[in-house]
Amino acid sequence: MRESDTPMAEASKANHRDGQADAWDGSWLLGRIARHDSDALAELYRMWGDRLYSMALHWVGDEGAAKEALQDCFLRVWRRAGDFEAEKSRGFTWCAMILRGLCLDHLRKKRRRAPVWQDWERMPALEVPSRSGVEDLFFRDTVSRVHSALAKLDDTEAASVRAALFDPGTLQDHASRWGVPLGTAKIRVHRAMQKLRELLKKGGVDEPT
Amino acid sequence: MNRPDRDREDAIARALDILPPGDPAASDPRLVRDAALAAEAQSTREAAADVWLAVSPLRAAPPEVLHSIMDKLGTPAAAERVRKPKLAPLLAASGWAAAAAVAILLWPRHEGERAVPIAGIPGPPPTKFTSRENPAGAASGAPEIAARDEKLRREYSKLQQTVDLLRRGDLLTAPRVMSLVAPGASKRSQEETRQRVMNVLTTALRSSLEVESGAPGDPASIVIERGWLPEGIDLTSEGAVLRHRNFPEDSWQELGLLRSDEGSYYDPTRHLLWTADGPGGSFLGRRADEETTDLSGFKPAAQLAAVDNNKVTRQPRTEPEGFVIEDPTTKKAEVVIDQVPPPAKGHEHKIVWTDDSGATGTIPVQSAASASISTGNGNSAVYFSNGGWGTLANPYGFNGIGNGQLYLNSDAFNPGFVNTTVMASFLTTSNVTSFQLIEIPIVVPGQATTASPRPRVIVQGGN
Repeated sequence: MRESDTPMAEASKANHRDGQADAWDGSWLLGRIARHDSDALAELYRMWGDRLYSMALHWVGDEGAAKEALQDCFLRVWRRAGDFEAEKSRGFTWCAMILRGLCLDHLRKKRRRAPVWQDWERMPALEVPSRSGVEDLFFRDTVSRVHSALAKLDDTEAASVRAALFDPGTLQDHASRWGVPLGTAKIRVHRAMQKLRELLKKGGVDEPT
Repeated sequence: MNRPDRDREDAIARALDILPPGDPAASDPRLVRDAALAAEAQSTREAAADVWLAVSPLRAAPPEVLHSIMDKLGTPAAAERVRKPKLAPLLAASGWAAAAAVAILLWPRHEGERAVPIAGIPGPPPTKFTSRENPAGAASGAPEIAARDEKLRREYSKLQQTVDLLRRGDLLTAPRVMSLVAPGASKRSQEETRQRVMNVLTTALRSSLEVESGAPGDPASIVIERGWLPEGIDLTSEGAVLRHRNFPEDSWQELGLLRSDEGSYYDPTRHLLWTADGPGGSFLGRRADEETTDLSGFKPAAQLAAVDNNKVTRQPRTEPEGFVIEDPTTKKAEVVIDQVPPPAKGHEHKIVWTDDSGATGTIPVQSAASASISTGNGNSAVYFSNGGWGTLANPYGFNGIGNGQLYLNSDAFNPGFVNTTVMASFLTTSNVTSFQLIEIPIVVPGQATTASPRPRVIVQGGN
């Protein structure tokens, strides 16, 4: 079973701000969805559908596939909302991981039919796009923190993060492409993600040196 | 390389689903059971979700997908209840925009960057959205923004939770609500009070700003389905025409609009001219060039009332009225009192309450001019302004200090100021049984006062 499919009991409390998820985070809707309230699922679609669809489209680069992933994601949320534990994870992250799993499945299936590294050329860039002055108000802080954090990664770290988050390949694929052993690829990704997490935690601002 | 390091690397790789097939870490139960490793994995997922969110160009979710989902669940009606055709994704699905519209509609405006949440109602969004165009600036201000945004989100969450509790009639955990009325005014029943608060909160959450693209052939390129424009978002900056399908004619005074005899409206803040377009309450909004457009026929509510009282169909409330909303779990009481008259010269306002243990608490009320931002425990920063939307140059803030101390005195008032909204929050040890907002003379040590020593009750509730 893939990690993102497992119950949120596997998740931890460490990253949560106050040990309790905000209703803003969708926990209140996920609770209702767990009781099979279809209105709540529709509300959740209204609240996060845009963001999740955008992410799916960015990953798979195909409208039809993105729509299918979005639909399957919400159907899975419907079935598994009872597994969600608000005190252990943000609701958005929980949904995003489900969507990511579905998109990875799609990309990996497609990849089996295509030259191995074709995806690399088409892989999304690791940069916050311009939104022509219009902001995502709901997640404004997140976008700002990510923007600042990404700017603090060096080229190797950025390449590692990009591969880990957007390339449908596995670490073995990355290791081959980088010409390093698997263990080294794991270390690279670990260090890059660790730095990214720390930067995000600090609001994207590096410690003064 | 030692084992713990390797475990952390495996935990991260597993969290991101990038372990190669057959890697033993994929089924290693320690990665799940070990709290530190599980935390590492979860932290990685949260970071990944943030990055995915931020780097994905925003697109509106297709409405047909929702219909398809609901069809598969056998509940197509749920999709119909969520109206969202071709929404402009950044605004339409923005809880913040919704919250801002709510704040603007329910409560008077205040300055965006000084905004603080109010008793469960979030403030409007910040008006400066340039952080990503100026990464250096964004970096330096990021922690402050994060702290403020987090606080606003929590306030918004509380509002949503309150509505949810009330909607479900969950009386075990639902907040207790005490109605506050002026002396002599008829008291509301418990049910009336509960219903009124629920209506206010529910309306607030429903008053989201919904924006969509204009249909082909429509002169409007942007259509507002409902709600009102938050501060800081200018939809007509490039000459766009707006259509508002449910123009809030009932609230034009509160929104600070000017009205003409022909029934058009002018928004002096955004320089927008709104004219009726077809039946059904639809209005078109265009940017008005103040040099070439004759705006002399547009008048504020007060002037129109003087010309013809009949033309003002909605009488503003003039009697002070409010609620104490007490959370029995946190023992925190939040107070909202609208239409509070300014204190008479030489007087000040005080909040006095009693709880069922017999203990009495007093909170003097003060303006932001002489208060500082609260960081005290359990006391919300609060806010007030006058009811004259858009007509007062200097809105006042209200801030809690220490144990919920709020001050309001006549020296702080603008001469044009009439009535205001008082908001407060305080911690109690048990249920609040009585509550009053009173006006008393300011006592200056060593100085005799000529004012009446008897307190005047502005509003009261409870026993």
